[in-house]
Amino acid sequence: MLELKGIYKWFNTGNNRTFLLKDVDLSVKAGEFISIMGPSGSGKSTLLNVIGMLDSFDQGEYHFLHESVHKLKEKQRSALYKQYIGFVFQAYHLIDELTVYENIETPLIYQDVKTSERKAMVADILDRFQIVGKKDLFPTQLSGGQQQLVGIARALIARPKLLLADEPTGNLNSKQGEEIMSLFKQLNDEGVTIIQVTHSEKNAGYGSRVINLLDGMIVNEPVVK
Amino acid sequence: MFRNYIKIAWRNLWKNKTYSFINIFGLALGLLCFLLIALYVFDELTYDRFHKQAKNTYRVIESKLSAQGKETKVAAVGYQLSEQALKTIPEVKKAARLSAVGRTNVSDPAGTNVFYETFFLGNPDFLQVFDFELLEGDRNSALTAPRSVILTEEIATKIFGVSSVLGKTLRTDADSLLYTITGILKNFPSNSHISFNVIFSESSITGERFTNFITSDWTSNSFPTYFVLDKKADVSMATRKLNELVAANRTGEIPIKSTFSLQPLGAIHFHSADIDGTPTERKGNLSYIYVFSIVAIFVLLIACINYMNLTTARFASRGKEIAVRKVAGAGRATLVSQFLAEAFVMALLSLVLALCATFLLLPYFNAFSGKQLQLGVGTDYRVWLGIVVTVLIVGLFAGAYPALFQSRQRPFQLLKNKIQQSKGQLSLRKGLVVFQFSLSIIMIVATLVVYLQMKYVGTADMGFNKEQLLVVDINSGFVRRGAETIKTEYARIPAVRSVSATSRVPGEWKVIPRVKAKPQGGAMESQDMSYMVTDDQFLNTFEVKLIKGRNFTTHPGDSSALMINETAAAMLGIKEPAEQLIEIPSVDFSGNVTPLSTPFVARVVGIVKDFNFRSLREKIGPLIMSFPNNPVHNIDYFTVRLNTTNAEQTLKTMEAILHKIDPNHLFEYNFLDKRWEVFYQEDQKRQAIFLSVAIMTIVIACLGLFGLATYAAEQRVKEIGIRKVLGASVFHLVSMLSRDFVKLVLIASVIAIPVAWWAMDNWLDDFAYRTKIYWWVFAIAAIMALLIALLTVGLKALKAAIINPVRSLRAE
Repeated sequence: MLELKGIYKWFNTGNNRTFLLKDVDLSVKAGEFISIMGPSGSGKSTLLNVIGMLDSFDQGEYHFLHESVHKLKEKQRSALYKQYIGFVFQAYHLIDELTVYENIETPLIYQDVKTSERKAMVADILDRFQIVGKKDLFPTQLSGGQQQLVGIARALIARPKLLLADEPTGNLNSKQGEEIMSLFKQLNDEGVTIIQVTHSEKNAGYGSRVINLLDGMIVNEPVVK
Repeated sequence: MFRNYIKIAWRNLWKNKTYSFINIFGLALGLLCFLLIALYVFDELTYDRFHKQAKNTYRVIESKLSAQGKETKVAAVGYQLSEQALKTIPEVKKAARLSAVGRTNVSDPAGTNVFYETFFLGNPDFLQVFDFELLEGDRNSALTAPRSVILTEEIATKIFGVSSVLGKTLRTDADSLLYTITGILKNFPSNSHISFNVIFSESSITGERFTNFITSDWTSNSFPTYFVLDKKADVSMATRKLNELVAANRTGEIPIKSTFSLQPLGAIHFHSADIDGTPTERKGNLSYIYVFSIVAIFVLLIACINYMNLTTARFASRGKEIAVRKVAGAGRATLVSQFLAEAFVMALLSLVLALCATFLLLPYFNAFSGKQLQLGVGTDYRVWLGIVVTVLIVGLFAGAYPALFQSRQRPFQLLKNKIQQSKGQLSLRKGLVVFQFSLSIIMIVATLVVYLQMKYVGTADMGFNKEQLLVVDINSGFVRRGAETIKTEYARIPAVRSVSATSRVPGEWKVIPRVKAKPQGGAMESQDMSYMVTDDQFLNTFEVKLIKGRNFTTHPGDSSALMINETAAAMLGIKEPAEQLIEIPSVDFSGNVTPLSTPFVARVVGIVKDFNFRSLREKIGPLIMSFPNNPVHNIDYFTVRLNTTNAEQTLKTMEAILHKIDPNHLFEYNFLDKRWEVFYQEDQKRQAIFLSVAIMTIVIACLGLFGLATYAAEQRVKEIGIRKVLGASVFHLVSMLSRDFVKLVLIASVIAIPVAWWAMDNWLDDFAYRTKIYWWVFAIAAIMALLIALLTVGLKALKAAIINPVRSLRAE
């Protein structure tokens, strides 16, 4: 599905060059559930952002579904991720001024989906996540677990092929965390490719493969369990 | 400690250069605008108040009620009124008289430097009532002795090269004897309604005619008169006694009813619009003073509020710094003083900038406003006080928000770096933006309407052609008697197409006399009409159309012929000119209806198309035109239509021709189109003022909007990030951020348009001939405001929208 070859990302401070990512090679097949692990500052989030095309890199090649991302222009890149990638954040990042329904609907608006179609799609996903009763509430009126549920619903609304999650359970208690992880497992079983960043071995256990990062480098790539 | 504050303040200023510049610049602009207008308004409001006895000084006004119920007011009265009032009314302590009796050439005895000056007469008390500063001479006696003269510094320097000329003599062409210079006056302050270059002692005029005239003069309007009343005097009592005094002394039949009143000296400048005053007087308009004051205060207020808004917006993003300082042990007091110091540094910089700009701009402002304003030690202390207090308040408020509010927060909350804003504050800010843009739109509309009216006035068909007309004054009897010769000679000059001799010209700067006129023998009441003496060449030279009947001929028999304009024809009930006899029993040169010794009876031979002989502010009135030798009025001008734009050579030839007839005659000329411009000079100034205020309000409104946009963008930085990740395009984000502001500007238009329409319609009502207020004027104003707002907000929004969302989301 996607392939990173020799990805470098750095910034310069004076005469020193600090590497955020160093010679990262990674290939992900459709249907995989990958967990990126590593200590703070090892470049997990940076790698995820590069994969999500939110962040640029300085050297290397990135192929995503037959497209060479490193050769694309900003506009084409954004069109690409808009269509194929959904994001889930640790801090949920819901828009406070919008209701649950409107939050979930937003990506569809940006993809120029018609109103009637939007209605059907949002109703579908609300139903599936069993949050129909919450659709008119604002994010601040929900618990953390519920907010993350809305966040995931929003990430999935446009039926992405790839779901990127940056510590999705980081702000949740363990019970809420377990619920989210089993939802991920379920989604993966339905065919969604997932890449998550996590600190927790337990959460990594839900995935099919773990990538360990240290100082911007992949240190090992354990075989599939 | 204090040095540390200044250092931090300076670094912060430097770090956000653009923002600091905009902020300081905005406040400086507000202060500059305020300073200039304050100086102007103070100068206007202190008109004539610099005299020590100003509070007890009054000008005598005569109000005349004509039989038709028309009231005219004149600020000049008969000679005896002041003489006798001084003797018989105990309240009157001193009386000053100042009168103008024609003009004369003045020069040094050798006649090297000659100037043509108004011949002013003053009584000895003149310098006792008014304390115009005398640089040399004794103010108690300077105007007492016959053949004394006082010069101003300026004219003395012009004539003699130096200003200390006390005791020297002055030559005039009024008579052969020399005058002794008994005083040198400091140049008049610009806010004095009295000003002249030369004043002669009243006792200098010793002719029998004059003496006879003044000893019995209770009725003329020749002497502007000022009284100093006793400090404890009851003004209404003094006024009553004055009226009784005149009533007791006026004898014979008085055709009109007169009452006398006392006008306080300080009220002259603003409350004399309906009074025929001294010609040097510049009449003030109180409503413009109100408008200017309100605008100045608004502009300053808005600039201050914007400054505080922008400053607090910047401080809000420094929560982290405050938190760290607190964690490091800074007490509230330290933080409060740091932020106050910082805010004051900025406000002071603005003040310095504003003062520099004021100094630089004052000369231009003075040239434009015709004032001698100064900013310095001599400036009224209230102006300084206002400025200092403003800067203190602005600094205090701008610093107060971070100093008092943010320093109270817990470090943890501040570290989260969220702007603490309640919804209420935001709607207040929005209200301000609406207000500022309303003001901007009103000013844009005002500028456009004044511009359109000026264009209308400049290009309107006035019924005659004012271009290429040169008007030469007739200043002596020799020239007047030699008019026919001069006309013939002028007509021979190749560049001259035609020449006409008239008493007045369309666009006249002196008064066009009015006469009573009625068909002879008819039952019709006589009507007021304007009166102009013209010759056979008038229609040809001014390009006025004759509609019916015939033009004057050169035949002397035409001295009893009249041409009238359409309006007059309609009023007199004349459809076809058929030698109808018109009777003119009296003439009125300046508020005084003087009966002619025998009524002038003349016959109507022609009707001309109406043409604008007065400013377009006034409707075309009825006009009677008569032939040069008539019993009512003399010819006063030659008007020459040129067919060249290079008039220099022609002017020399014309001067030579004139001097052949009268070698001493001063060659005075005017281009008529330039004289017409004078009519609208004040309006042109107004246009310039409106334009600069419009620009000022727009700039300041943009600063306010910029502040609000900064707030909004910073508050929504997270939302923008999320939306971007969800696939929003930059265009979408910019339009989302701009939409709210567009709404504000639209609301502002809705408020501003009716106000602007009302105000400008009122202003245009001053003109009898006026442009329409087109709908597109409002459209242009609203669209301009909208575009400017979009540009301001759009730039800010664009900046917010192109930030990598990863960065804004990471801050959480």
